[in-house]
Amino acid sequence: MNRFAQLWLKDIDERRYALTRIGFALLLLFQFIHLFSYRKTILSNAGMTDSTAAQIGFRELTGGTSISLFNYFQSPFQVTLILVIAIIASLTLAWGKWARTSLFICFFVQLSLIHRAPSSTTGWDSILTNIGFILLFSPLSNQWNPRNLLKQWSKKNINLKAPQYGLILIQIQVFIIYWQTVTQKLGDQYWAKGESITYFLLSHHGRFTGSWPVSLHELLDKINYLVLIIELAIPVLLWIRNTRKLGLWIGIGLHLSITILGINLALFSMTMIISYLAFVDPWPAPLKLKGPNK
Amino acid sequence: MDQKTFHKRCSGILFLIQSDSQKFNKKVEALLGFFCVIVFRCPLKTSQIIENMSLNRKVVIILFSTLISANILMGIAPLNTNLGQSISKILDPVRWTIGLGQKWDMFHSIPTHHSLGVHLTANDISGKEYRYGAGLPDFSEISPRKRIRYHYTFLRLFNDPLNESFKKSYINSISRDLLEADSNLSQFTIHFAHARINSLERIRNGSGIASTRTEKFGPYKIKGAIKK
Repeated sequence: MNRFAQLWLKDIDERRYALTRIGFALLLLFQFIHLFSYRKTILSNAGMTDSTAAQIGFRELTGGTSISLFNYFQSPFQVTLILVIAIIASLTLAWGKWARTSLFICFFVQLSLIHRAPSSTTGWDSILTNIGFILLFSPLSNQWNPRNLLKQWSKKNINLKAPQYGLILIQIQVFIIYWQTVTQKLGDQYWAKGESITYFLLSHHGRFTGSWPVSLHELLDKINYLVLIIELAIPVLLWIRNTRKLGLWIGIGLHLSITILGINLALFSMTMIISYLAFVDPWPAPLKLKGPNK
Repeated sequence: MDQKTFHKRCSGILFLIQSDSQKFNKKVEALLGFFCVIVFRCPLKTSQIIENMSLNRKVVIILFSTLISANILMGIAPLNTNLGQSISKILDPVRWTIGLGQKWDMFHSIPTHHSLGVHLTANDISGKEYRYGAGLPDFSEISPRKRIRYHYTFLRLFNDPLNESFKKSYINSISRDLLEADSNLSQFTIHFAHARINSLERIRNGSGIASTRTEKFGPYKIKGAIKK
């Protein structure tokens, strides 16, 4: 029981929360800027769907209750205003000013997007709400802004500590995201036959058009299986302190490749890379020396 | 802004919305209020070292972490398995309402979609046809390849029966906006061109990367948007 309690309550350097908060805030900033061009079409009643239908549709799709802000603020002007507020809130969150309130606003706007337009959501939308929810109930270390964090980056030991449960929960979430996708892929004929990467590069996601992936299929077939192994390995490598750097390099490499070879996937890659901040520990506690055996 | 001021302003905004709209859903208001109070009153969030922590706070942290991690861990069962479906059926209504949905198929996108093209045609009373873009409210031409959310939106609206409510609403919105644009228009049709990637064998044999199939939805009458 004590070890179970320690898993959540162990003290860690508070700057780790600040680092995660700043990274997550910048990610939200890019997300809200990205949403700006869609605001009239998918979020306002002047666009493709109206909010009453969205509430019914959300219930049919998920069984849940739509609590979207956009059900009440429906005009293009109101939607624009909400997104502007969210952009400002993501900046104040990064700076650590009114951090809890800012995070609440950002989280709620992001959740409102999913509830208002579930048919227009992408994979990274759910990652953002999940991490946002966990951070809402975690220490945010708001006394650390990017400037003083950089200034005191090299300080080995500071007295400010916080329980680690928030970061552990994000780590578990990253684990599940990768492992669930691999288990899904194992049951998929394209992944099983080694054709998935070739098809991916030919698909609407492919940045470089043409049939060139077909001529490289023999190589891409091997990369297909390598990707499965990498996705299984990334969370494990990130979890273990000694292999963390390797995990970071492989994970960042994988997601940068996705961004370069695919279009419209930069935010997804950015989301995954930022989630690695929950694993990163630039200020590790010194290892306790073992006492002499008595 | 301190927490008290924020609470006051939140209640103020909620009161304004409520008095403005009779339709305001009491259940949603209760949910929002509950959520606000939990976030701002919850003792979890403050930094405090374990030695100075009260037993109550420790218990709350452990309980919260256990619940959330259990929800996350139950997400390991993929939705295409019986176990995954059973868990999802029970937990999804709560999960999706509060933002903890566990559906991680983003790496597992169906890799055979090549491109989508959606546009509208509308006829006036004399039968003359006009072409419009599918983007509302201004009927702009939409490129689902450049704008990924439109790709997902149209694919789900026209390929997934679960999104029927959104499809109906889209048809109503087109009808409303066409009527505003030109009152002489009487009906419209949605053209949905979906290109799927051919098998690798067929591509090697020179049949091109993808084959396009165009589906037509409609014609829908503009007033009332009822299918002919």
